[in-house]
Amino acid sequence: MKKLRKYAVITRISLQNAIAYRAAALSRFGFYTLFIYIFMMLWRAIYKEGSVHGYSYEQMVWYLIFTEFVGFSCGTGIFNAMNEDVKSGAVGYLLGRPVHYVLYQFFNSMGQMLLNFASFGLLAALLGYLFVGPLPGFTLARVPAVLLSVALSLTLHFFFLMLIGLSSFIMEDNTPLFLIYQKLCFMLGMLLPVEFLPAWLQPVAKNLPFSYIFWAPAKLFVGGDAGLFWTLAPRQALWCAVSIGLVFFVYGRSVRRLQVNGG
Amino acid sequence: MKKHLKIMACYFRLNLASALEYRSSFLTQAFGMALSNSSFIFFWWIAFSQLGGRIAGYSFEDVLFIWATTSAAFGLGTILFANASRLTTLIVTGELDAFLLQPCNVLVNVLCARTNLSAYGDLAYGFILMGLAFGGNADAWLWFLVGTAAGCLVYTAITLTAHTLSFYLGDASLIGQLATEFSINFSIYPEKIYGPAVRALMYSVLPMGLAIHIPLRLSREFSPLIALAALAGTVLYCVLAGLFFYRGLRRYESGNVMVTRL
Repeated sequence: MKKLRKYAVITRISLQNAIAYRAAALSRFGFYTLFIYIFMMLWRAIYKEGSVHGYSYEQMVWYLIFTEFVGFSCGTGIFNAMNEDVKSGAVGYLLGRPVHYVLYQFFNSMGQMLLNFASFGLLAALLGYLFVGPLPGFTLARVPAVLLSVALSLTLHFFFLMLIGLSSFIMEDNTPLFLIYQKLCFMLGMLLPVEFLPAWLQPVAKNLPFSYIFWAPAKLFVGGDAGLFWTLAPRQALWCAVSIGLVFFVYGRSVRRLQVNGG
Repeated sequence: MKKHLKIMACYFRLNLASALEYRSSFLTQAFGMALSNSSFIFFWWIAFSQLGGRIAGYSFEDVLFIWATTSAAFGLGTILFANASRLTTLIVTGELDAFLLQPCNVLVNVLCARTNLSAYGDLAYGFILMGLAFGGNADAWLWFLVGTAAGCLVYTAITLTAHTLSFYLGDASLIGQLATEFSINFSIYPEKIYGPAVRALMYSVLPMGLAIHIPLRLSREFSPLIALAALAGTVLYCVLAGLFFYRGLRRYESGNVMVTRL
């Protein structure tokens, strides 16, 4: 219980920090709005040319608003922060504290994630209503399942970013790893629903973790039923467990290689 | 003019030599950027394979053309003039002092003093994409090269103008970032997806349309009038950006900071 309390304090302080520096969020609001606007216009042009099976135009715009909302909610800069910690040697100071480094990073980012979730959630709802009106067929009964799915996808995304951040213990420049991960997420669910991919690629995408970060919660949001939730959520939970396990394993192995010089 | 070109060539040589000192970092950043750009082509491939035909009047080949030209123009602009996006930092921290004291053109000196390693990936990606999509189509290559040169200048002028606002408003880095994002996004999507107001913006305040969408139009059907108008618009915008910078520079107050440029 005492252990949990110290992590709760870390989260509280990080939330206070995030609120204090809320002006920095303004530029991210601008980018989010710009991105949604451009893709809304693009999909409008695409839907003018013909129909895209399975998704109406409104569903498609809400799908994008939702996947971007998940992406921006997880925007804590954890990859860069861990890179910087390892390269600058600051990780040495954190290792000496009475907290586990991985848990410290997770709870330290939680405050920013909570603020992002609330502020981008509001902005997402506002933009959706403004651009295409309410999501057809959406009922409040869908909310708990969607929230649980979002929580799982944020955890999954966060721990994958941490895993890539930890690679800086081994690699001098791990930016390409980050870019590859980011683009796999883009292609397998963030910009396009998995159903839009070629038939041969769909089963591959559904067996990889990347689709469960953006596609799964957005699919549940725009048109999911209880049956779909019970198909997607266990897979999300499984990939979460794998990513968390991998982070602790890699951290345990990497920290043994750590050499910090200087005084 | 000859002196300015000499300074630019000198900076380019030094920046490239410095980049090559850290060869693995240079190559991974360039490769990463090229890979990053490729994912958007995947998006377009899926979109066109869903529909076939055209989207907002653009075929898949047209989209590849604007992507290749934007990528090469942005790459060239940030290889040669990467410091444009750091102008706000130079003004706010007072580091601009160091540039004012040197016996050469301030604007050229400021813009060329830095390069961006990943920009080489953008430039290479533009050429590779053109090679794959258009092979030996001489017309397409000609307008691609014209678009790359014009886009490099217009992109730099937009970035410079946005950051020059720091002379007047204080820290204008947010405006600079937004101007960059808008410029790139106006270039890589078919212009007809946007409404008339945004399209007017693409040909006036942030005129990337002149450098990217006009060359595409000219490659389809050449019109000397449109070509001349685009050329005149590009030159005018760049000259105005330079004048705006020098006007703003008069308001600069030295930070009295000691800076070592290595």
